Amino acid sequence: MRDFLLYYGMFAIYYVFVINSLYLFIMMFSFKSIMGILKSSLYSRYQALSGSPHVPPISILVPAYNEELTIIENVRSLLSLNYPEYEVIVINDGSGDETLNVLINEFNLQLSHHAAVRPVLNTGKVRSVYYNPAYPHLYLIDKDNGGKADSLNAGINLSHYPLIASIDADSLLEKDALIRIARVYMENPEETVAIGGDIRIANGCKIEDGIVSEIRLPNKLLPMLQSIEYLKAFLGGRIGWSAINGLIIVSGAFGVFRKDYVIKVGGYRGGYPGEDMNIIIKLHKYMLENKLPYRVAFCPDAVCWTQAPDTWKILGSQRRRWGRGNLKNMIEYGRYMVFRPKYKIFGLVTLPYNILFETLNPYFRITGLLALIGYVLMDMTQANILLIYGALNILYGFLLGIGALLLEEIAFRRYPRFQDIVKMLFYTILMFFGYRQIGVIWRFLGHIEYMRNNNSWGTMTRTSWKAEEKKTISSLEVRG
Amino acid sequence: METPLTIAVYMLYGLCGAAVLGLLVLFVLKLRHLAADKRERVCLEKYQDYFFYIQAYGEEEGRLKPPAGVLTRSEKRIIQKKLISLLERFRGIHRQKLLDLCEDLGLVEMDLKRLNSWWKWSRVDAAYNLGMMHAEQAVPGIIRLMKKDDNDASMFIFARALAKCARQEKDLREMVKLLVAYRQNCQPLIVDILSDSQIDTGPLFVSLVSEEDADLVKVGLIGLTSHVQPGMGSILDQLVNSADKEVRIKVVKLLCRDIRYLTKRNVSLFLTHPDWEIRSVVAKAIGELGLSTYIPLLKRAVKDPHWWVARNSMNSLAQLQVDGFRALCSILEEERDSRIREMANQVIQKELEKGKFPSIDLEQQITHQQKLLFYQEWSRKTLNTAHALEK
Repeated sequence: MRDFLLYYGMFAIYYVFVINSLYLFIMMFSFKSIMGILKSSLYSRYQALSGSPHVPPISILVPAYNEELTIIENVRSLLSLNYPEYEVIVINDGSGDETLNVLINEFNLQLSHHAAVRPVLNTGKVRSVYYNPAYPHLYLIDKDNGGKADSLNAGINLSHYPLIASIDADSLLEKDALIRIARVYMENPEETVAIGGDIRIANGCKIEDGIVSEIRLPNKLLPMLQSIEYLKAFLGGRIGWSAINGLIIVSGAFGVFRKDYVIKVGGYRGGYPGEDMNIIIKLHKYMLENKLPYRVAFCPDAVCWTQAPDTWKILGSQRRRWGRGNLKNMIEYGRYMVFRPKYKIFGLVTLPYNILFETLNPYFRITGLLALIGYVLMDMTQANILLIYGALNILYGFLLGIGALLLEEIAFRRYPRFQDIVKMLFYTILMFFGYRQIGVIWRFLGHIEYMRNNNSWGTMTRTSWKAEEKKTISSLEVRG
Repeated sequence: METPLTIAVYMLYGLCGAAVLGLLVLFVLKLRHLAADKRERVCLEKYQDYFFYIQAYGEEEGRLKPPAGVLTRSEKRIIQKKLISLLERFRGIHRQKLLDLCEDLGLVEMDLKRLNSWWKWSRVDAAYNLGMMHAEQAVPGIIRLMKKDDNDASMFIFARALAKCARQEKDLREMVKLLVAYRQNCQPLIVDILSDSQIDTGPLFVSLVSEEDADLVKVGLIGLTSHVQPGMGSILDQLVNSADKEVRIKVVKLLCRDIRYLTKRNVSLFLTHPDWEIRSVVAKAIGELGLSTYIPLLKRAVKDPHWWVARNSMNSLAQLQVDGFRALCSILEEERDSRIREMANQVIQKELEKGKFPSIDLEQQITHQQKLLFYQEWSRKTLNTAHALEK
């Protein structure tokens, strides 16, 4: 028994090493691409491009469920983007609060019984469409509650343009975000089926008129930890994955898609979380099965600011949902596509990585840790093995954090102060003392929920951007 | 037992080393950036009066004087950055004087040398700067860089720089060919890049339309949408039958911008074309251009099996004053297909809904009132007929 525990513990140690090494390997692709990204971003004249008649028009889809606190700021921010031709379609997904009414009142929208809805995708019942010619690029769909995917499909049915952008209602786009993504699309329009934007945490930032006017790191523990997580995932991971065309997810908070292909793959899958990963898997599958050249790109300089959960309860709910979504996607598609050469990089690298190191991660980590604890309890003189396991986790995670911060410093430098770097490094280490472990447990609980057929969206509360702004100002005043 | 654990310990040492190295690089980079920012701030303050001078004397006779004293290389870079931002703001003589100043300061020469740098990103920086300074001397160098095999997205940076530097059409043509060879189907971006050029690109687009390569033809066609050229009819007519579907669609889009090309023959041909995109484009254009003559053809097109063609035809009918609207209403009486009737009713109601919103255009208000009046009379009559039939 003691030997078994030791061997399993050793396996867990090497598992941690391999998972992080693979992550580091992918990060190397990010480093390889970063100078190109930096120069293209620096030398593309976005101001001129945003007035160009050659930029493709985009329909921005904003699914909204109980978003009365943030929706006005967000729509106003979307209506003032630097982009030549676009429309904003807000989809009220049967909200129980005043989301619909605040939008109708704010923009003086009128009921339009006969809007041209082309039913290319099945959706829940659309109750009505609202419109006001004074805001010719704004549409509001009011529909029965059917989830985020269903709302996006309803938005697609009303949309008028060949590209669609999905944006969360609790997020704020930078003014140039869309034109930056369009530039990436225009460089290879035929093959680009989806482009993801960079998601950053807005907690702590100063927000004025729906625009992040002053970038600051969050003041609270949880948003700060998530800030580091996002930085690692987006800069360290997604740039690298997109470089080898193995990106498995374009964040639901901000992504742009070719509408024709989204329709060809049947639109967004309803009834389950993880629709953002699901649509990308379906796009990979469709393009590879039909032997069509394609790419799923990532545009790290197109930034979308989002509110991070700042309580354990809401964060836990979000992470369990992500866990459920991931498991569902792997069961539904992953197991049929994994290790099959016809799915190329996606089937041979991305999916095995995702299944072994994302989906099954909680099991290996929890059982590995338990095995090592059991082994040490049987022989206390071997306690150093536990220390090695912990140190390996922390050091490799720290190294990856440094890598992500390096990428940030090379290309983006959004946190200009020296103390910001120090603070982020501190939190990179801190996250290994409890936060990561709880994250693993949440993911595991998400899997249990999936087995028990719990399909709810979970708790999610919003804070008004204005409240966030006031909070930031007052905390700055306190700090003097 | 000992060996695997020992390896794990070695891994830890390795990770420690890598982390320390990473930290060192991160801190050095951050400090360098902070120092560079400070240097820039100080330099801009030092030359603040000089920048006022070049902005105030931009319209005066004679060349702008360089700043007094000897500039360091780093000062030159910072001043160049500032001048580039000013170049983007100014036009005409003021811009020309700034361009001359760039030459006088030796900035063009400095970047021409960097164009041969062994460090790729220095070459990219140099090409961008030379483009912003409209340096004609840089054209051969930038073309050479574009011909290199190891190009990525920097190809587009080179292309934009070349478009700004080039004074001759042949250089632009070469740039277009290199870009098309590098990546197909990015024609809108190529046309956008060409719009940065100082020379008239109209003749280039005309000549590209006659090329054999369909990608070059597409560049020409997209370019012509904003560079109307006379006497293109015969060439475009030939391209309507191109083997490349995208070319066909782009040609028809171009033709639909000019009423002269929309003859009865052409409209009939396009509305029955096998490509639904072409039928849709023409149906839409008729309404936008107000061509009431083609109401009967649109009435036929509303039965098109493709949703967009049918919808655009109906929208166009609604746009064509009262006559078009009347034709649209008649579809409700005459058409047996419920799908078409339903769609027509939607378009009619949507058109009538426009009256709910206050319109500032008096002409639009009058037209709307006429349509409303017609609709009320028509629906009363239809109802009466229906009642009579019921009786």
